[in-house]
Amino acid sequence: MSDATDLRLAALLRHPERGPDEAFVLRTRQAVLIERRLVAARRKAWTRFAFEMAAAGAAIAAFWLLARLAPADSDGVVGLFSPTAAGLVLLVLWLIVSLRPSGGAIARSNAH
Amino acid sequence: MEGDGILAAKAARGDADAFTELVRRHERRVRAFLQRLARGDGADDLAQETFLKAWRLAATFRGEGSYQGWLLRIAWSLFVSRARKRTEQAMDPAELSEGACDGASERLDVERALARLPERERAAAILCYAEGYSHGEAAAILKMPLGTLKSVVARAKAELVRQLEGAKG
Repeated sequence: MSDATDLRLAALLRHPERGPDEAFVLRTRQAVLIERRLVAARRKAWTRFAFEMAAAGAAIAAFWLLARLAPADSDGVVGLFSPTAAGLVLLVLWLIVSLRPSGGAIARSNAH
Repeated sequence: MEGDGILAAKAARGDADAFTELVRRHERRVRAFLQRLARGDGADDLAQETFLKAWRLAATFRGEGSYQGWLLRIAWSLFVSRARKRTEQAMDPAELSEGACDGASERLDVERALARLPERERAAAILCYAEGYSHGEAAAILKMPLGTLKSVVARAKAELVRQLEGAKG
């Protein structure tokens, strides 16, 4: 790239030097900071989700094991007012409360 | 003043200040590249997307080439994928800087001629002529073999010269 045509094209196409566009830099910085916050929030949400799923899995497994251990004098059916049924109700309530999206999230999703 | 490599390493560790300094250093050339490539159509949005992607991929920068070359490679990839997604608007290159067209200066002619080139030739001409990259560096940025790049640049040059001569005549 050294002939006269190359040099002429290079001279014609070269952009004039200018300082940095601080408005663009600021906008990009804001976008980066938002991205960083989003990534942190997403990671936190996934960690919480994994933890709660593990807890729920453990509780369900415990319930299943308890349900299998029928008292010697019963016919194997879990009674409506038994401690096992009460534990199941508590577990369902906990699942509903902890897995329900927050009011803000519902409002945001409705807005979209 | 810290070099790009040091700032890039800091950015890879999540240092937003170091990354902001890299944006400050390189935004002009990334935006100029994209403005000519995209003919102004959403070029600044693409430039911001380029920097955001560079932030996400900061850990993958190995320092094998220049940081600016790496940024331009990301910019080119984003431009190509955007062009694939949508049908490119048939913008009339003659519309470029219409208001300033009183003397039909050579600089304006070459900008118009550049806008008429196919994307690959335009990108190669911008990198090799406007940005001063070597053929090897431009080939790496555009992800094409060196021989292909050379023939693309030669075609672009011939077309630019032909259109410039036509504009004169």
